[in-house]
Amino acid sequence: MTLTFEQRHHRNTTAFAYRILLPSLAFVLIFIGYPLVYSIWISFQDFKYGVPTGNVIWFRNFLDILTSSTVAPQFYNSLLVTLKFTVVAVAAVVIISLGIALIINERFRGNDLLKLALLLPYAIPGPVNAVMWNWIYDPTFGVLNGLLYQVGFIKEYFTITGNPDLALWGIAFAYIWKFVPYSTFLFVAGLSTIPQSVYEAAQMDCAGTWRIFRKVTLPLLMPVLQMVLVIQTIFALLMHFGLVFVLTRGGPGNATSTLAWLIYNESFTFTQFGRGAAMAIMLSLIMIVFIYLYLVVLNPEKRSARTQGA
Amino acid sequence: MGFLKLEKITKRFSGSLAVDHLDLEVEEGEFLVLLGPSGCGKTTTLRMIAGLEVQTEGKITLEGKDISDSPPERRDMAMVFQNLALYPHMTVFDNIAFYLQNIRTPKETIEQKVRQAARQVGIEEFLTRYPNQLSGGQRQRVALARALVRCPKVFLLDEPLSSLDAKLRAGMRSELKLLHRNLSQSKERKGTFIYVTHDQVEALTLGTRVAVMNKGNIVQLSTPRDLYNKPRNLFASTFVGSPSMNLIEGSLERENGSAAFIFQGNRIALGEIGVAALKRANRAQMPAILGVRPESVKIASPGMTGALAAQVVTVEPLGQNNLINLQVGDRMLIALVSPDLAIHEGENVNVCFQPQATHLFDPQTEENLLG
Repeated sequence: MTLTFEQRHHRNTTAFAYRILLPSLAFVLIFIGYPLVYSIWISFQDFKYGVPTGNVIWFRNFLDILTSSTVAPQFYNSLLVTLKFTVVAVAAVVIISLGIALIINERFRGNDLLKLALLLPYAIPGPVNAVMWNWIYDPTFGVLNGLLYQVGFIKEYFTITGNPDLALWGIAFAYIWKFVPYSTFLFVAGLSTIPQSVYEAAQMDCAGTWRIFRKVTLPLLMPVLQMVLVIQTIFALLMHFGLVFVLTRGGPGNATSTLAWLIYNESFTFTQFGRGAAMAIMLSLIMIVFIYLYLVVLNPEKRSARTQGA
Repeated sequence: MGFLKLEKITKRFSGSLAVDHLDLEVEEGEFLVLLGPSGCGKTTTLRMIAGLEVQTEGKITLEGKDISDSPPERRDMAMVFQNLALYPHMTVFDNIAFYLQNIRTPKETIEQKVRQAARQVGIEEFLTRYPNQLSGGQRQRVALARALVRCPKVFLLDEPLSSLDAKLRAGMRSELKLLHRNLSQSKERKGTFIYVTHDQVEALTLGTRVAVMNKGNIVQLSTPRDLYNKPRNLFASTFVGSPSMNLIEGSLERENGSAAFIFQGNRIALGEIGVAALKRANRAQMPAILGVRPESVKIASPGMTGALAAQVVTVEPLGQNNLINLQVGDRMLIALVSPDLAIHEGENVNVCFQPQATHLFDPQTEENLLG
C-alpha cells in the first residue's frame, strides 16, 4: 500500500507523540491504574490478615458495610461525620477565600504583603500543621486556652479534641485555616480576568455594589467557583486525615471517625483489606456524586459564553 | 448657557499631570470631539465627566447643578467603552436591559425600550445571543444600544470605533453621525455626545465642534472646518490633516507695500496675508514658519514667477491622488496632486502655493500669526 505524503506525515507525527508520552503513560498505568484496578479487585475478596488470598466473595463486603450489625453503624456514623465536615469545610473555605480574594483584588497599600502572608498556611506541610494545632488546642498548655483565659472569655481551661461536640469543629477550623489560601489564589486569578471596564460599565448602569457582585462578578467567576468546589470537596473528603490522625484518632468515641479514618482503621488496624477497599470505593462514588452535582447544577450550557470575553 | 461645564479641571496621577486646568463648555445636543495624541488627557477628561475618575481640582456642572462629587450612577450619563465592556455572561437583551433592570423598570417597559434601542442600531435579531457569538461590528452596536436605551443626558464615547477594522469603522462612523442627528432633533431630550478619539478623520467627520488636546489642555476648540482651515497653532496644524501640513522655517519680510516669505534664498510673495501678519506683530521683519497643506501645493509650469524650483523624489499613487515628495533646497515638501498629472521621479518641476492657502506661525510661541 502506498501512502500519500500527508498520511505518512500524520503517521510519523502520531508515532512520535506516543513515544514522547510513553514514560508518563507508563507511570500513570503502573502507579495509578494498577493500584486502582487492584483495589477494586480486593474489594470483591475476603481479603484479611492470616487468610489466604483469592477468596472472591463479590459484593459481600459492600453488603456487610451497608447492612451488617457490626460494621454498618460505624459506616453510617462515619458517613454522617464526613458529610457534616465536608459541607462545613467546603462552604467555609469557599466563602472565606472568596471574601479575601475580593479584598486582595482591590488595589491598596500592603496588598503584596498580604498575599505573601496568605501563602504561609498553605506552605506548612500537613503533618506539621497537625502537630502545630495539637499544641494550640492542648487543654493544659495550649495557646488557644491561654488566650481565651486572658481575654476573660473562659473561666477555666477546656478541651476541644477531647469533647465529642467540639472535636470535629476543632479539626474543621485547622483544616479551613490551611486550605483557604489555595482557593483564595484561584479566586484571585479568576477575578483578575474580569476587565475593570466591565465593573465600570455596571457602575454607569446604576448597579449597586451588591448587584454588581451578584450579577457581574459571581457569574463571571462561575467557572473558577466550580473548579474550587470540585477541588475543595475532594480535599475535604481526604485531606483532613492527618489532622484526625494526630489530634483525635477518630475520637472521642467515634465523634471524628470520618470515612477516611474508618478506611484507614479497617484496612491497617484491623487488617480487613477487602472491606477497607470496598469502603474506599464507596467514598470515591460519593466524591463523584458531589462533583456531578456541581457540574450539573452550576453549569447551564452557557459556560462557553461566560468564559470567552466580549 | 452651558449645558455641561468643566471649570479649571485638573487631574494628577501620583505626581504626573494628566489634565491641567481645563475649561470646557458643552452645549446641549452637540457632538463634541476630544481629539489628541495618546497621553494628552482626553480619556481622563471623559472619565472625570463620567465620574469614574475624581478630579484633583476643579468643578463640573450639568444643567447648572454641581456634580463634581456625584458618583457615576447619579450623573445620568451613558458611556461606550473603548473595549466595549459588554457583560459576557448576559444575552444581548440583558446587556441592553441591565440599566433598566437596575432602576426597577416594569418588565413591559423594559421589553419595549430594549427592542426600540436594538432596532435603532439594527441588532433586533441578535437579542438572544451572547456577545461572543457576535461579530465586532455587532458588539459595537450592542454597546451603543446599551447607551441609547437610557436616553441619558450625555453620551460619553471613548474611542468606540478603535476595535473595528477600517471598512467597518467608516460605516459605523456614518451611522453614528446619523444617530446623533436624529437624537439631537428629538423634542424631549437632545442627544449630547462627547467623543474621544485620536483619529482626526473621525473628529472632522463626526464633530459639530472639535477640541484638540495636547499635554492636558485644550489647544483649539472650533468647528471641524475652522480647525482644518484656521489652525490656531503648530500643534493643531500638524495633528489635523493627513498627510500633515508642510512647514518651512524662514522669515517674513516687508517689501514695498507687500510682504514675502524668505527661506534659503527663495522668495514667496504673500501679499495681504503677510502684511497683516507683520502689522499684527508690529514688526517690519520677523522669523516665521510657513505652513501649507499638501493639497495646496501646486505644480506650476516652468518659468512661472514666484515659483520654487523643486525636484521630484518619489511619486506615491494613492488611487484618488498622487502623493509627491519634493525636494526644495534641503527641505522636503509633500504635495497631493491629481493622478492625471504626468510627473516622474527625478524630474525638475516648479511649485507654488496660493497666499490664501498658507498659514504663518511664530516659531517661538508656535501660535498662528494671524490669530
